[in-house]
Amino acid sequence: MSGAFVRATALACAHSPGRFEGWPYHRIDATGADWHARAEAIARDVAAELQRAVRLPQERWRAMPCFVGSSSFSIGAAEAGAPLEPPAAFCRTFAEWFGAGGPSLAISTACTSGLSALHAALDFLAQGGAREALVLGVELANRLSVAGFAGLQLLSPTQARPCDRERDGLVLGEALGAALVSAEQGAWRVAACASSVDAASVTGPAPGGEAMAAAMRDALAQAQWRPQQVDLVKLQAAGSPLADLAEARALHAIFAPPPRAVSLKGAIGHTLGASGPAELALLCAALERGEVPATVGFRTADAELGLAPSAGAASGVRRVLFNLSGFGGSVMTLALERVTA
Amino acid sequence: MILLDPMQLELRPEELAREARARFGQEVRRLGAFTQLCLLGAETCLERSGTSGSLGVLLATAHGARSAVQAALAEVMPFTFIATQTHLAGALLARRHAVVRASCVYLEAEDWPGLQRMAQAWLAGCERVALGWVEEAGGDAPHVSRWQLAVRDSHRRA
Repeated sequence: MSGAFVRATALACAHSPGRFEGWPYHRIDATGADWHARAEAIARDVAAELQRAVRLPQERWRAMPCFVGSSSFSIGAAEAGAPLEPPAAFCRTFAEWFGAGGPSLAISTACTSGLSALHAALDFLAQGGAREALVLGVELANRLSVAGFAGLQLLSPTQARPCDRERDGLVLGEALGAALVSAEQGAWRVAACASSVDAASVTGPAPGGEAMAAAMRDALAQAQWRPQQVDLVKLQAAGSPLADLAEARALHAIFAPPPRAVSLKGAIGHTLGASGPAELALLCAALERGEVPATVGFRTADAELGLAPSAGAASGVRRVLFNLSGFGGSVMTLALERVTA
Repeated sequence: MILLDPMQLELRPEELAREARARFGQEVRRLGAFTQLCLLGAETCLERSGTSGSLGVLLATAHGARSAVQAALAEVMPFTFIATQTHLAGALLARRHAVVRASCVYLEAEDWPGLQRMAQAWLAGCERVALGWVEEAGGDAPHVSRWQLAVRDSHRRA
């Protein structure tokens, strides 16, 4: 894993929530004649941003493999009356919108889908399948996800408050996150990508956060870092009363005390299968500007969690753990190391 | 990497629920046909292998949880929504096996060489990988759940 780098990222998301299906929801400001046209407009904007950032010759884009993670693929189009499209075809179309002409692979592990796509891309690079790969996390508005989360009583009626004493649920959102991973040096080295599976329930973590702790331990071991060398943890925390607590317990099981922490889901919503690449793009951009972003929605610490996310100058932030978990027990931790000033 | 003998289950829709209930009881009642089909195939494959050790679950499909998606398009109920997610078998298998990684990949057609290459990479992080191709019944075709276990060269049958 030590030979892979994040060379560039790009992102479409919404910072201010509106409402969708009666719930607060972060919806990207984009229009199109239909669901696919809107998806294409969003994709082409993000593709242009990524291509500006990395400036590769066209022939390298034509050979580029593309790994796409999503929990809903084009279900929104089917809700609007379009024929149900096989996810592999939907992902090939997305790859074409980015100009990536190599093989494409669609992956689903619910909310960790985008990070699972990144993991598959890193495996592909490690096997010598390519020298660089495009990773996309795609989650576009659909009633199924919102109604499903609402039916499971997981949504906040007002605002996501990650780690806050008054947190009462998630706020969902749309995002398209893109990352170009490469054997060529970039600003961030992927020191480890670790996964574990939580068998407790398909809808939530074990209360003690054991699977999250296992993923973090594995990431630290792969990266050959000691816990005290971690400068920042990007939390999974989305504002769920129980899942935020389980993650806090996992952190306390490993760190004494936990390092500086940040959650990005108050800022852009829980973007489900897109959240890996989307939060990676947001975090890398902020840290490269010299800032640890604010944990939007966090005001008052919860003594039971023992976590107080803090924003401010990012000086000294070099080693980052990046947590993500989701339905179906999927838990992942990425270890990232800053390699350029 | 060593590939153990492949196996295949073919079930009529009315047989699937009965077989899944008999094998897994209430645990799988609301998880939908796709996950039931994954579990039945993967468990059979693992049992026949006689192996143990850490496990990855890499399953592939063209259409995924088609029946749950169709049901959810008609009416979203909480567990219909859950049943549209195709990787759930990993969490349920983790109650019986040391599962450390699980993913569902969507392919346009069966590609066992491609899956085996992925399994080879996964074996860096676990001792065994259960590879599956799972497709719900459609038209006259029955439910299909094909599985093969990949193990490290150093791994021996228990």
